[in-house]
Amino acid sequence: MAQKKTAFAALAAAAAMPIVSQAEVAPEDEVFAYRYSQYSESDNPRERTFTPELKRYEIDVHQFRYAKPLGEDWYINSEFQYETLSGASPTQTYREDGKSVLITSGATIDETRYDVKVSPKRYFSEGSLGGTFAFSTENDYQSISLGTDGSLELFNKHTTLLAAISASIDTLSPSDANGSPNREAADGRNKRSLSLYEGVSQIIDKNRVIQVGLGVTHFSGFLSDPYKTYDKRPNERDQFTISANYRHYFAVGDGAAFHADYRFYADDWGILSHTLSARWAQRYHSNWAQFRFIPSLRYYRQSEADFYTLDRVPQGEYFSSDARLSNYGAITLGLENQANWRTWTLSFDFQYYFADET
Amino acid sequence: MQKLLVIMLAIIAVGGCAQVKPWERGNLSKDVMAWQTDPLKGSLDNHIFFSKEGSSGGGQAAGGGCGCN
Repeated sequence: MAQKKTAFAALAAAAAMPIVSQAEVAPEDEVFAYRYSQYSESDNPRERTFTPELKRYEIDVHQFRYAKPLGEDWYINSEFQYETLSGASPTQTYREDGKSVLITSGATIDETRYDVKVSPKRYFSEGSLGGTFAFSTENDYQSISLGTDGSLELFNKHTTLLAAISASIDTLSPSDANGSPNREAADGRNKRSLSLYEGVSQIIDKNRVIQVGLGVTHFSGFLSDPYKTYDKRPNERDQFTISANYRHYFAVGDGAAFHADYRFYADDWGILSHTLSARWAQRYHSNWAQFRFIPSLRYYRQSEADFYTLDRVPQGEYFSSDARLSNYGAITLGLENQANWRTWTLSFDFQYYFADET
Repeated sequence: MQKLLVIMLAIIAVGGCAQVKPWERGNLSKDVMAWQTDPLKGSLDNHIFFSKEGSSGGGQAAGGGCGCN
């Protein structure tokens, strides 16, 4: 087991503060926000990396958000993101003489990814109905998704029923496909998904609220990784989640809240995972500005896929040495800082992701 | 992990759910109580965790997919 560390930090500015929670009311503010994030991974360990390149990813992310009310009942939210990525990707991991060996692609990855999302929402007296259109493109991958979501408030708005459905279709076009059988096999292939979510949120008392939900997603199409030397996965995947989110208000400082989020995940590839996040959101004000500090802790643990293998030349119907399909755990530590002055918000946040990997 | 969830749910169940009048919902509507602290941060966090981990989902909305090698 080796420790692997990833750091991400973001600086953001936004005009106007949308404050919406626990009630389906159309937000009244026009919001423009920009956010810059930097992401870097620690180098691969020299002693077990077979190829000269040790660097993994460096990613710069620019995000823009624009949201505004349209009439009294509509609110439209839009997000645009572009990221530039450079680094090397592991093409194979295998175990030999009790040691795992990593082979990477060399510094071949240098690309830009664009992602746009538009979500209009109509608010009614007892609920809301929204839609989402999302599109992303990078030189070797395109994705289009469409979704709709609704909420219905019951029992004097103590209980809210939630439902969402979305579908996506992705297209693979691996770079330098000529000469690589795996990449050629993936070229032009599709990956489709259909997701359903059902949830309920409940006001417990004047300081506490909880939301629980069930989700299912079905994937089909080309689900293997074309850049790995040996990677063959089933053409279908079914995922199931149970999630619970809890918020508890405390009259500390100028107001604070404890957040606890949990997700149970299982799929038919044999992966089971638990994700638990805890946050403390603290509000303070001075004469001229308001501040918000949110320290957070996230725990993640998953079991390995049935066909995950570190054999040098894997046999069998399906096989993959992708670390994301391995027995894996991670802890994320984060801190968000936000300052509000009149209609402006300036925020700075960073996170550290510590993972154990085979 | 499941134990913690069961305990959490049990505490809530035992406490029951009180009638909370609209004018008593001031604390619930404070920004510190939001399900998501910042929409752009939420989108990016999901994207990063999706690219690093073998499981995903559980939220209401799905974003754009990625090659994420």
